[in-house]
Amino acid sequence: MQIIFDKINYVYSGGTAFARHAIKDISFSIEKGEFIGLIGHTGSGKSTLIQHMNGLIKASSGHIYFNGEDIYDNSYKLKELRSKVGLVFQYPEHQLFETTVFKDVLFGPTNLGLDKLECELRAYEALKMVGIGDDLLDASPFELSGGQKRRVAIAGVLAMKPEVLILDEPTAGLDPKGRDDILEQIAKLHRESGMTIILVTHSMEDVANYADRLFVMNKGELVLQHSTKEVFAHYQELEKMHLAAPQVTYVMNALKDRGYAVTTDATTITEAKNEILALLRAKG
Amino acid sequence: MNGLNTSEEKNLWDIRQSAGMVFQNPDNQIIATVVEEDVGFGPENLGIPTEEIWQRVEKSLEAVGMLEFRHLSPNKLSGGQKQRVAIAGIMAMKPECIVLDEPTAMLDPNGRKEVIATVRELNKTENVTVLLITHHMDEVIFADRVFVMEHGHVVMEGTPREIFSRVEDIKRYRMDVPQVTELAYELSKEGYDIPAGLLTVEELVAAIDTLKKSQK
Ligand SMILES: Nc1ncnc2c1ncn2[C@@H]1O[C@H](COP(=O)(O)OP(=O)(O)O)[C@@H](O)[C@H]1O
Ligand SMILES: [Mg+2]
Repeated sequence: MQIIFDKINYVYSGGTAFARHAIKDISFSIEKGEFIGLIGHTGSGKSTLIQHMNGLIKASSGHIYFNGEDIYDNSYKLKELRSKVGLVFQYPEHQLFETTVFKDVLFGPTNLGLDKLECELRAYEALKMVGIGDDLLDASPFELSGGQKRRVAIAGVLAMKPEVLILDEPTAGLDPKGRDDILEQIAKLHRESGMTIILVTHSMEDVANYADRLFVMNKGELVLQHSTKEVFAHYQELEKMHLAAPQVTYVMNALKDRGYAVTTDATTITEAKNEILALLRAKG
Repeated sequence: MNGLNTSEEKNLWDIRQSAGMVFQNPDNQIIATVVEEDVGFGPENLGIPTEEIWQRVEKSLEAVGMLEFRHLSPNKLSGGQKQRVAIAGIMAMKPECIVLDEPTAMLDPNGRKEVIATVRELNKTENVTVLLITHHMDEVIFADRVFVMEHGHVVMEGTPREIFSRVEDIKRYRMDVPQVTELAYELSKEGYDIPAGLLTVEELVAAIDTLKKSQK
């Protein structure tokens, strides 16, 4: 599914004294199968932006096209959009409410009006995808660890078989193991099923490891939309927006500043390692 | 705590006065509707005279860099600012020790920096003992000592440099090391003489520089 935003604006409490212009003239397009990282300071408009993508909030002005169709046309079926675009909220585990893990994941597909067998198959499949074993199906969601709860919440969205999966800070507050587990599962979904992924995060290391392109939000505007490497090459600009590049990018830049002939576009440990090894092996 | 056994109920009041706690969620630690009232809440509960309460409030807000926000409503503040108000509330009780349980887990990078800078400053200038619980390894490098816990046991203990020079052990516990530490470790595995437990960009760059110069 191809997504196009054309000059989208959103104003909270429009027409009142409390009006807040949260996102301003946002335009971009995302192709099927891309892995997009969305970064920006708190309050920059990330959550507001992504809630437009499944029709949860309607733009104050501008157009959104999915596969060429304007989702604000009267004939467009918004309900279908909700099943095609899966949105995992910030702290989604707060929304678990059923008595068992399995029932919780069943909720989404059941709501789509699918028959019982199909719903159950999808729930099993989704839980497997996020690495929740059969032994936990009948557990109460509240007995699980933070990372497990979050994976159950993600399974609930996956069970709707979306074409686009949007995750709003899915690793916030998790320990390194919980974080790696979730990111690996998402990367696997992307690799194996070609699902379009939009990952909102504060971790520059995470987007460096996984995203093809980065969208950078600042004060409601989309200020950069380039490949991950190009965006991190602008690390001084990023710092002005209270963001940063991965630590290894700073290592490469510091080496260059000392007069060494290295490229500075490494954003992952492996890339930096290879570049530094080349430097160390070179004579002189 | 200061020779007081925490399992004896009669000690609890004194212990709670000397050790304050700050928690993860910035949104459920602030009770009052005005910043300075929230900070005054603790000392008021301790029965401190009003005049002294206000002195303490002012001093604590100043120490966390939030004095200019004293008359604001807490819900106008960012996550990092709310956590600093929570820390000021603890400081106003003049504790000897602050325990912070993942105070930065719900903050963005900027809020994290604010909180960590505040805590380091209090440790240095007010001499409070700080116990910081965190998943962010870049916050750990500032500690005097680090404890690694696993299944209810302390499994590693040492300075950040000692802990982070044991990359394999840390990975075995499914923990992280800072990115530069890992990069340095990867280079040393290739046979290069890079010291273990490097913690900052500057240290790694200096180590590579030394290697290059010795090649000449
Ligand atoms: N429900 C709301 N009512 C009014 N203002 C809001 C609401 N939600 C968000 N905002 C404001 O919109 C702006 C963007 O917020 P948000 O999209 O949540 O940013 P981010 O996800 O990047 O932190 C902020 O200034 C925020 O205060
Ligand atoms: Mg948000």
